[in-house]
Amino acid sequence: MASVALKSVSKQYGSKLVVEEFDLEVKDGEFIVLLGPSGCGKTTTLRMIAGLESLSSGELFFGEKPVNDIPPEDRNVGMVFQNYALYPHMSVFDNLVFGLRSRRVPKAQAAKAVSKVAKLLEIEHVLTHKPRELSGGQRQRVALGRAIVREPSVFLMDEPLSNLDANLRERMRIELAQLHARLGITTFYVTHDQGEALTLSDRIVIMDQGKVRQIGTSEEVYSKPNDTFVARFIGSPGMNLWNLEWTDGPDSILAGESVQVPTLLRSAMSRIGKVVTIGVRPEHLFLSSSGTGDVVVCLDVLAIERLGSHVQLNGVLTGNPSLTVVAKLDAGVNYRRGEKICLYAKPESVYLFDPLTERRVEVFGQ
Amino acid sequence: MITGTKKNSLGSLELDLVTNGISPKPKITSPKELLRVLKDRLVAYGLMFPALAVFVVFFYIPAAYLIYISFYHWGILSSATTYVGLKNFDILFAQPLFWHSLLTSLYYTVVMIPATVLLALAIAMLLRDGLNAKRGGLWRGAVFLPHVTPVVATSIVWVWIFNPRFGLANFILTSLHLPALGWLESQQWALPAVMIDSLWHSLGLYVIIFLAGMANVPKELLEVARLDGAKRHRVFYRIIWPLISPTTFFVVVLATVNSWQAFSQIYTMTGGPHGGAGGPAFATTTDALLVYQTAFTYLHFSLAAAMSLILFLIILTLTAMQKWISDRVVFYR
Amino acid sequence: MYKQSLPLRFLKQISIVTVAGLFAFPLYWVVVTAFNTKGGVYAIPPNFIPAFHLGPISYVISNTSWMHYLLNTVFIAGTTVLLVLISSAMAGYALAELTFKGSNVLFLLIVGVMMLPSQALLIPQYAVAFRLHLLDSYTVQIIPFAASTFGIFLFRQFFKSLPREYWESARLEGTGHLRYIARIAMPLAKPAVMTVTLLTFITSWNQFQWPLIITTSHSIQPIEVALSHYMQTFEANWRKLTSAVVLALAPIVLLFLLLQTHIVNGVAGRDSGVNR
Ligand SMILES: Nc1ncnc2c1ncn2[C@@H]1O[C@H](COP(=O)(O)OP(=O)(O)OP(=O)(O)O)[C@@H](O)[C@H]1O
Ligand SMILES: [Mg+2]
Repeated sequence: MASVALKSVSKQYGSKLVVEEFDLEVKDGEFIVLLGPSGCGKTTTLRMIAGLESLSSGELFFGEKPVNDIPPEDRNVGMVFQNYALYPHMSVFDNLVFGLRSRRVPKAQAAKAVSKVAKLLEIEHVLTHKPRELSGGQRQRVALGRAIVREPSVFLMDEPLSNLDANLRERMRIELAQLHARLGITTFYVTHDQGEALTLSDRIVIMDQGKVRQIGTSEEVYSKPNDTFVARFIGSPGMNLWNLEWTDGPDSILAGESVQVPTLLRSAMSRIGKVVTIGVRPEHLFLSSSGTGDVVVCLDVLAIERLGSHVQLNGVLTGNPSLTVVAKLDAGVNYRRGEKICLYAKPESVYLFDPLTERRVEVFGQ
Repeated sequence: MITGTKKNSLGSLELDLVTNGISPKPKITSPKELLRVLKDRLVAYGLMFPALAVFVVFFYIPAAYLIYISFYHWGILSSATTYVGLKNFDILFAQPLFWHSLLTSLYYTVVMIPATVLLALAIAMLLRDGLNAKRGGLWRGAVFLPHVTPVVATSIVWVWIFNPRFGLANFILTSLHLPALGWLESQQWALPAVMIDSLWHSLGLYVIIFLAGMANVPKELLEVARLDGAKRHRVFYRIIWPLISPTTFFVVVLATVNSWQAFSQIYTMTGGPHGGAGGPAFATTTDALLVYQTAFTYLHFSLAAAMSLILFLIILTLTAMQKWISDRVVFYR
Repeated sequence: MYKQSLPLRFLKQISIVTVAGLFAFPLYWVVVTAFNTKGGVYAIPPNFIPAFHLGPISYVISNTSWMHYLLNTVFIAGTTVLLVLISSAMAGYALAELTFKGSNVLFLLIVGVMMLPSQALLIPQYAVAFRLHLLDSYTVQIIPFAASTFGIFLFRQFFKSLPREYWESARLEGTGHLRYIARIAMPLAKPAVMTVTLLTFITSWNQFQWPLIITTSHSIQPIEVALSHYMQTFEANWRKLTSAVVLALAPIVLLFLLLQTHIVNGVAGRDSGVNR
């Protein structure tokens, strides 16, 4: 068990900065999810923690100990690879015991450790099988087992569920959460599935093009996105963001031609400037107003997707056809293409961003 | 032209510098790190060591030693070595047998190369269609099998076949109302007999190489030619032959090098009951055979070394010449 | 691909069978001779049907040291194969998986061996063996062939094709290179092991010139050199001589019949860089 700290860790391939000034302190036993679009540097970060890649600059600590110069074999990390990398010519048992024997753990003791892990992961009945005789889920468990059988102090997983079908993925996700609760090993988990990230994580690190955009719990990254990237990336679909010029009024502020916001946003908006980025999550838009002081958004409906539990409306702001609107509304209401409608949102569910820095501005700050 | 290449090489040099400058080698920051790097390197060299040791001791040192011995008087019995300059070569060049052996090797090689190419190509063309069929493998196997058989063992079979009195070769000749030949006992026919054995033994390999080359000729090309109504021999001359020319070149080089170095079959077929190998009357004394006899029958090591050096140079020259010609003739895709 | 007329196709089939027959015939002929009756060998017209007289072959087996030569050959070939596998796998692994200073130079050294004409090196190789006091030994029949450029290339290529994660995973578990090679890389490299084994074995079994010059004691000589001596001994007794030949040929021919495709592709790959 160990806490882990990354101090302005960077990685460069040639002239390409792949990971930039990564700062993170992880408590012992914490479950960290690295989330971000493809190519943003998640795997690279994980491999640097494992020691499989060197750091171009910065420092890495396990506990109090700097590990920059410690080779991977001495870091006591367990890793699950995306393709599992199970040895095809060895039985499940041999796959699990191989690493222990590499470290000269006595045979009997190693076998004991393996059977314990096999029991934990419910793969006892396949111990004599070869990997190709296993189902996807079983392979996944064996890969997990191989990583935990050595009782690593840090556990690294690179998209471990991406090879599974949707159902199995959901089940394994729950099992992973339970496993972590039981073992309490500090874990880094790479994914680009935000569902996994939101359910599994203690904290999520959201990355984009090598930069850390936000570090926080599921709640934080959802309800307090640092910037427009996080706002758009988290949530499905992501937050509506509109760059609009605003004009003050006595009862409300008009942004663009079809968005009205309450006057209590005035001070925040004037701090930003003439043009602001207004953000509202699709699930926070409603058909009817709950009271005065609501945000009003009027749009032209372009498409309606009926998704069973709800209806997803896609449209553009009336008068600003270049700005799209997505709304998740209750099922059972009828809309038509081309219709003009107005939707409402509570003032506290509105976000403001500075269009220049793309960073969020506290609405009720100061 | 010249400036063009210069610019290119300069460009890539710059590129090297740039990439090196931006991604520096992993810095060695601590003694521990240094130890680890050294250990890694040691592992790599350790893994390479057995193979390299063999290559160096039994190939590269001998290659250097060859030059050394050629200019010294060096004997297995006398440990004293003295520098003699070009004397070994002087002796050699004064020997008619040396020139004779070169001519014999030349004769052997000059006959073997076209025979090899033509026969191998013809057989490959013949086997080509049946290649994918199950039985195609059987015919191919029959042609290839001789290539993996031990040379002495099979050369003995050929000695028996060429036996002037009871051999099959003369039986066939007389059945065809042709005069029987002395074969290995005749100055004129001994080397051709060896050639037949050599062809039998080696053709299989060249056939396989040709087949592989032909497999790379795109099927569409042949089909287009057929749609154009080209005759079969024209398809061969205009499409297959030019497209397999790299293969042909490769076969020529390989056959040249192998022919010039032929030893075991000559030694076996012309030695034994027929007296010292290379006979009759030196008719089959090739370069390689003379080197062997000079060293191990007459124990003139330095002379043999000088001859080996010449052999070395001849083979290098032949390969280089063929490369030069092929660069101008062979069609590479 | 061309629709051929029936007679032409027939002619072609006939030619294929004839050619294949011509190549196979000498091997058939040696069997016929070895098992022929005493007079039958010298009969004219010759007797083309084997007679299955086992006299000469049992004479060769029981009254000569043939078994001893066979064992010599098996021992030399077997050891050579083992050493080639080890040295090739090790070097192939280093070239495929490790980055180290000087790897380019070492790589060139390995390729360069193929450029050296073997006949020209015979004399100095003998001289080196003499200086190392290795003349007339098993060692000198084995060690010079204990490394193979082809083997190294084959293993290098194979190891390069293994997923990088195999090594990374093993490394994280504290596995060293040697254990990884022995337990993971080599077992997975079975096809390469098979090819290298077959080709090295065949080459080694067929060795002649080197043992001829480097050995003088009959007791350590391999079968090909022994055959060369037999030729003098059995000069005029063709049944016994061909019986000895049959015994020397049989293992290789059987091996070929069993693993034809593998051998053909392997040899073609080694001698021409063609991999079919
Ligand atoms: N060895 C390398 N050399 C050069 N560039 C590399 C190397 N490895 C990765 N990269 C680059 O670094 C960037 C980040 O790669 P990384 O594998 O960390 O992305 P990722 O976030 O894991 O993406 P994905 O979700 O697709 O797995 C990519 O643009 C990739 O092209
Ligand atoms: Mg990745």
